[in-house]
Amino acid sequence: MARRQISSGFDMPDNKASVALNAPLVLFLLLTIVVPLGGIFFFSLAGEAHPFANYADALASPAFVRVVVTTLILGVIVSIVTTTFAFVFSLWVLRLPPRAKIIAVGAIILPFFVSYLLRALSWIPVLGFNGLVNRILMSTGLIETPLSLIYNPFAVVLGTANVLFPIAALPLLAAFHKVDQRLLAAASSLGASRAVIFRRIFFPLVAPATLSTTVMVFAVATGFYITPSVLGGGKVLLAPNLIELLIHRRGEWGTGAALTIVLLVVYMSAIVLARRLGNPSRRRRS
Amino acid sequence: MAHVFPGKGHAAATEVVIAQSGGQAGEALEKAYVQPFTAKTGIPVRLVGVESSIGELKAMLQSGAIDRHVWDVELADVLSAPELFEDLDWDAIKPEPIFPEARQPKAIGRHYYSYVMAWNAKAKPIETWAQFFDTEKFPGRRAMMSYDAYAQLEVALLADGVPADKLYPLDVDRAFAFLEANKHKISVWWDSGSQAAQIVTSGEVDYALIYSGRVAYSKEAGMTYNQGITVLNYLAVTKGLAPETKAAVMQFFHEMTIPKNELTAVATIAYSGPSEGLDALLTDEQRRVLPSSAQNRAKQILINSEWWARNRAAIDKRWTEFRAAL
Repeated sequence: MARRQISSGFDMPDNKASVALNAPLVLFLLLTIVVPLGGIFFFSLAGEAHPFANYADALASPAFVRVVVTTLILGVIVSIVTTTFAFVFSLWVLRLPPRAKIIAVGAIILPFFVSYLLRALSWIPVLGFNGLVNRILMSTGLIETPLSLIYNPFAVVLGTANVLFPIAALPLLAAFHKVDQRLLAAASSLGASRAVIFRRIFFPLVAPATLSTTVMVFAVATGFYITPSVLGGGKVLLAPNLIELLIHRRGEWGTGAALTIVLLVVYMSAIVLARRLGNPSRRRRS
Repeated sequence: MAHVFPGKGHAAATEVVIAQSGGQAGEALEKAYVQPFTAKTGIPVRLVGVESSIGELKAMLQSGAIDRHVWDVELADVLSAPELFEDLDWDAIKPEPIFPEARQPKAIGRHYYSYVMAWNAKAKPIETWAQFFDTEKFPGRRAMMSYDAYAQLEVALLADGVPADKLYPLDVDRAFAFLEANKHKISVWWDSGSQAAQIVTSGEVDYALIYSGRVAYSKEAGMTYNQGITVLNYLAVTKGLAPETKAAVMQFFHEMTIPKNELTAVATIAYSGPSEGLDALLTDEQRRVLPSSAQNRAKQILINSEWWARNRAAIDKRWTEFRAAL
């Protein structure tokens, strides 16, 4: 709060400069977010019978409802799994010596340079019917016919969590490093066990960052398109894939746009809800 | 032929622009038909990409500026939106002999492709769609197409024992019931032709429904045209284009009916044109792998575009419901 007051104090004398400096950003956001979203909204209202016909169609279709629910459930699972792994990983990195830390962080940034498609496809030689895991299991005689490790919801969660792992790990690492080590040392010197230090001091300090990371992973995961398409074997129809089917393959702009707006509202509500539930002080106030 | 048409210099078209899906098919179009056409007439042809012909054509006509003249289409598209397309002048095209389905009032056949059954080289070859779904006698994993019921309803009905000559009008309820009862046998519902080819050649699946051209020359996969569903892809013309451009396009279409030109096309892509004279020019190997050779035409079923034009919208909705519950 204090910082905001100072900065607005600085801005006061030269409001025009501030407007001028922010104008390109505002214009950029206007052109890349507001205008296209307005276009989608416009398309969604161009129903043939009445303006909301596309919405009625979308909400009356069991397939659409099913797809939205599946996407939400998988999004929640992916965000919890990814954040949990990233949390444990970040704890481990925190205790590494400086040089090893650089290597660990480098190792999670590296996959950013490989395309999503390739990262999804590279699971096939590992988990596929003729993949590494099945071949090992079959050669050891543990199984006789290959297991369906891929082309199912499990593979979609695994693949998406894998791709989103760095996106979750980086903010968590940053948050963990900001924790004042002296607080932990003080607790320890006062006789707190490691479990108590983690539960009563460390975790409360990193909880807000953990929650916002979970929410961010959820937001990205529910928009994922390539990974579910490759690893779901066409059997896991998620909202982005359905929108692609409607708009790209069939040219049904109206229902595709209506579905997009419905999803936007559902996701936004989910995110707002998560933030409320996860922030006790705000919950008490409201 | 040149004397039939206005020669160079008489208010001739300055350019013909073809909107098509590109890839190998675009390359074949360029080599086989564009080059001889431009050599004869001096009129340049430009190929531009297209995602959805109907959508982009509608948008172009609304904008009022015609900058694309010829469109890569399915016949069902033309039949359901005839107001977007110009009538062809078959007297001006003066086609060499082509199969009857290639000669439509508003569209000309370009090349055939087929939905066929293919198998990994290590799997037992199959001959019918009934065997494709028979996991007892032909064990292994299967793949079908995820995004469309097109041709797959025909496949389901053939597998369920409907004779080829009794297919149309399709018994949609029976087809969906069959797919519903057999969907557990399908391991992968593929999203693109390249994915289909990849999984069947690598052995991720043993059997796949696939576009014929994707496996025609493959050594890692076998295929048959038995009970294949063959589709003729078409070119159609923008409604209301300038008369001199239309004349040039008709002349271009003539090039598409010449057997020698179609032979050039099949050197680039395994999809063959509708010329009746093409078969005589093919090698034995080409007769085996191309969808419209005499021997393969006899084994297949030509898709009924009129039926699909009438029923497509309702079936698309139903397919979405089916897919969401896989």
